[in-house]
Amino acid sequence: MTFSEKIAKLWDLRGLFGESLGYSLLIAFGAVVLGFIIGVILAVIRIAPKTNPVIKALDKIAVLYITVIRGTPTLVQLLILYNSVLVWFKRMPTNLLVPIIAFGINSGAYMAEIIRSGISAVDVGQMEAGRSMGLSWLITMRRVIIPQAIKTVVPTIFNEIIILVKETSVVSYIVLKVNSIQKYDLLGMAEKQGLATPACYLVFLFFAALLYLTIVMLLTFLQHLIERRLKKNER
Amino acid sequence: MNGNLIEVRGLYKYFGKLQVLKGVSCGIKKGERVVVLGASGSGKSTMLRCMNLLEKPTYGEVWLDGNLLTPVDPYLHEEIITASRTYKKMQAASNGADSAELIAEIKKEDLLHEKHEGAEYARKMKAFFREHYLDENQARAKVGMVFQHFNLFNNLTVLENMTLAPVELKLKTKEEAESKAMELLSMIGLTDKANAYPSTLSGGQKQRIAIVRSLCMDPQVMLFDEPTSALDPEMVGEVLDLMKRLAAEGMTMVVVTHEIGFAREVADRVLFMADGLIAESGTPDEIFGAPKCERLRTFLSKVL
Repeated sequence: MTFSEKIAKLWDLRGLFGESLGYSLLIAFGAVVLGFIIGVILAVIRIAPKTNPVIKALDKIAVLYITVIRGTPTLVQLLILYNSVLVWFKRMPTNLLVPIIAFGINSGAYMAEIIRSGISAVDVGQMEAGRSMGLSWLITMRRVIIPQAIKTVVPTIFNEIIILVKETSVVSYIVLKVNSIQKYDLLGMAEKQGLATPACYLVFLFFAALLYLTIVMLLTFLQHLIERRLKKNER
Repeated sequence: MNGNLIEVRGLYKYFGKLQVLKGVSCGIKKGERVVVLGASGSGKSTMLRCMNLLEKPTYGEVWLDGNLLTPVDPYLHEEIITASRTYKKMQAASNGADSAELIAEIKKEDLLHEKHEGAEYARKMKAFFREHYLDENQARAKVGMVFQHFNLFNNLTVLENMTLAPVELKLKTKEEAESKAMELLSMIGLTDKANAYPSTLSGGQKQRIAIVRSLCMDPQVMLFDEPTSALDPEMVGEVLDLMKRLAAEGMTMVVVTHEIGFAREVADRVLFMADGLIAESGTPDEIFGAPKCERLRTFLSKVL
């Protein structure tokens, strides 16, 4: 295959690129949703008044979770999860669930700290006003505090989402090394298609970089849209 | 509780080592308008905030309409304190001293360790608590509170601000709450702001809406914590007018304020606080016309 033939082949594979892109985004999207849910729950536990032993215990668990997840590399976490599945089920996971869970758990720890900072930034008077009317702590949190906290942390949350989208490229290394028929994401594509000569690989890498850049720019656009929408809510 | 709607008994409040309240007792009768005066740091806001448990008193009890809102303070109940092991030991050692003297000798901290005070004591504490206790959220639903900094919910419209609590607590259906809210908004002439967000309102509008937000809960009593202190001078009047209107309609009110004019005009009774205690209490004429204690005279000379 000449270089131009290889490039032509690369172009022929654009459908597969699309598919891979889809997987990449799907993993990222699933992880963002999972991470956000974990993040909100952990943040609320961390910020809750430590009045009873159950909340104290949950708080300890939350601190441990955040410490361990933020203290270990994402790649190591992902490998641990993949290999755990391999050990227990005697086969390599082939669906998207494993990377979604791995990235979701990872992102949850970061989101927790982001959302906690947002909750702390809300004026204490808001909670007092809610409590003074007989609303419980949790209801005031849900209806008043968290909506305001989320608004202030939108830029930081998108920062985390962007990192997450790009981090999903790590999946290729894992899946590729163990099971070469997988086609889960962009970077995994090139090696699989026998396009791994340095020059061709380089073209592919630039192409992949361009795609990621496009995605991130779209996300940034979405972020501004959301920020503007939330601001309009105040006027 | 002696016909008082709110009764505060032997209230102590510590913030760390700082003692803010030093055994305050007072009662607020139904329909009474009480204004609380005092220099900053005198504990007036803390006392008010204890009345709906935004601050938890360290010792002492708060009663609302015959219901106990705080844990039982054994010190305030002779039949409970005399059942304690500490009291019995002291009695045995003292050869028949007066019970009041003995009670005064017992340190409050000792009685907090309930387990060491014997089964009879624990049983009496529990029984009294069960008989009178009202959950804090239920109590707060009956007590309106107006804050210095308004504290309208920034993420909700004016109408949502007013209907959130009554609907969440199932005191009203959404329709009932909304019609009540609109009625109150028309009373203060702000129906056009129903769908506005708090950030678009002036300070005076915010505070008036904060007041009617509390009224939307049909409270038995309204607490005001320096409601005009954060307002621009030209907006103070509109808020005070609304408060006077409430007073005229017979609302029970406890108002912490620096507005001496309001106290003179509206109050049935004025409490002057100094150093974590109520230093003087009386009608506006007594307080402003013939102040007895030195602290009050100094205070009045500064603010009048």
